[in-house]
Amino acid sequence: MVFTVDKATDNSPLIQAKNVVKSYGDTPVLHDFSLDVSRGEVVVLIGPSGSGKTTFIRTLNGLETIDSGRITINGNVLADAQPLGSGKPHKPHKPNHRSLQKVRLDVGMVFQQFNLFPHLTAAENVMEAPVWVRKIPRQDARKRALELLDRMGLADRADHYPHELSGGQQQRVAISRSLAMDPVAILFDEVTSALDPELVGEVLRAMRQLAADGMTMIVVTHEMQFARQVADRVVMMAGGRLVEAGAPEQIFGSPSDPRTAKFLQSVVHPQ
Amino acid sequence: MGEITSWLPSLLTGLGVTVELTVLSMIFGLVVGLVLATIRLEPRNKWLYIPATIYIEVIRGTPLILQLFFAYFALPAAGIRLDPFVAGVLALGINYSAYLSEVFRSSIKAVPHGQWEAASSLGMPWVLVMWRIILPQAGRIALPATGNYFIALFKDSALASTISVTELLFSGQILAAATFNYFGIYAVVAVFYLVVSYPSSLGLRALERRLELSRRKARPKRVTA
Ligand SMILES: Nc1ncnc2c1ncn2[C@@H]1O[C@H](COP(=O)(O)OP(=O)(O)O)[C@@H](O)[C@H]1O
Ligand SMILES: [Mg+2]
Repeated sequence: MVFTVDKATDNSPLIQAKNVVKSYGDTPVLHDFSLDVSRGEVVVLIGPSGSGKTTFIRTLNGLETIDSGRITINGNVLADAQPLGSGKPHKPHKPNHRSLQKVRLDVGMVFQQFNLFPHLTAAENVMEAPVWVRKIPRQDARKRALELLDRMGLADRADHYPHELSGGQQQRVAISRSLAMDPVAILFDEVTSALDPELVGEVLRAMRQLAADGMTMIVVTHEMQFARQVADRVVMMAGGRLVEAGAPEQIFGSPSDPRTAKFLQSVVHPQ
Repeated sequence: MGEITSWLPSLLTGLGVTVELTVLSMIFGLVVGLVLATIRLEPRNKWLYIPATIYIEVIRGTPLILQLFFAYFALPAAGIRLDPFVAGVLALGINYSAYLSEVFRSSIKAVPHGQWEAASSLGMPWVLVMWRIILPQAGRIALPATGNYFIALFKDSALASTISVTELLFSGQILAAATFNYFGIYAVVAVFYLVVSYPSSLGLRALERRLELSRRKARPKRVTA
């Protein structure tokens, strides 16, 4: 184990999104979307392109603001906005600086395009936030970074720059970078979509390991095999709404909504 | 030949002043330019954005020599009497800050947005993201244009001779007026400018190549953990 799961005993969900509404201008993207995630749970979000998966998980670490609804993470209120016509003047909710900062320390994010810092080596990428945000001494931070990279199978790549690494290696550095801040949960947004097919497996393997270690994860992916094997719960989204949610056997075996069946069909047998 | 040797002390002193003038104005331009660029990243912050934009447009829309005259001849009317060298640094620095701010602004914007997102999702506050993640990348993008401005500033500093800063050109003018050897003296002055500017531009190109990320190689592994 390279991270410690905070075994707080209360049973309230670690991540709680309630009635989240969000539009880009006049285009509604999330309609009254609610989702609770418990400690240690792995939730896989699936759904057609444009259904709001990315937007939703970005609201969970404040990369997107919401128009109304409430988001609580590890006891910190990230967003709490009144719906239109509730009496209070309507204003897109901007999380205050301190709760945003706190939530971002709690929730890690891994991106489709890796977004490694190109001017820093793999180890420096991993150390950067621990050293500058958590003020951990460089030597300790480097030691921890090397442990995390080793854990991701990248011990011999620690002093390489991102452009010297394959996509799969870069993405594993990105996962290490996120782990280095000891997050209570990590969000994954289609983290294998930009990879060459032969590199997908190594990243999924790393994520599988994290899940087995008890990390709380919300994973947007089209890798149905991964969802089937790793997810505690699969959530199907369409048009900014939650279509259905359930155990992977139920969603993949006997979906109750025709949109789910149709979507799964299209993923399994792409045209 | 002996004549040239007799010019050298005052021309070398003049070259020293030119270099000082250039370096100080450049530092001024870099600092103010960076502040302006940062302000202009956020148009919604009108109270800073609008004054910064006016400053930039006024400076870029008027001749540098007029700005020098303003600093040296016009400010005394407002009770501000500056030493010629100080007026020169101020006018050149302000002028270059306006141009450099646009270089910095576009370089900062050229850093992919994902870098901001990755850094802030690690809990880094704005200042830290800017200082540790964005500026090192923007700096590499800005380097060629900034270097060119530096060399242009070195040559533009000759305009300070018009407000009686005894830099290289003005030192030459003084000698020429005394000896009437215009050709010889101005030729030597030209060589002096060239001797600094040409190696500078070569050095700059070498620096650009060294900083180019794609050429950067893995460092030898350190043994310490
Ligand atoms: N920055 C943006 N501005 C305007 N519309 C956007 C923006 N980002 C996403 N959208 C729109 O929001 C909808 C949901 O997008 P997204 O959350 O990326 O879906 P998904 O990740 O499920 O493919 C899409 O219709 C998309 O076009
Ligand atoms: Mg998406």
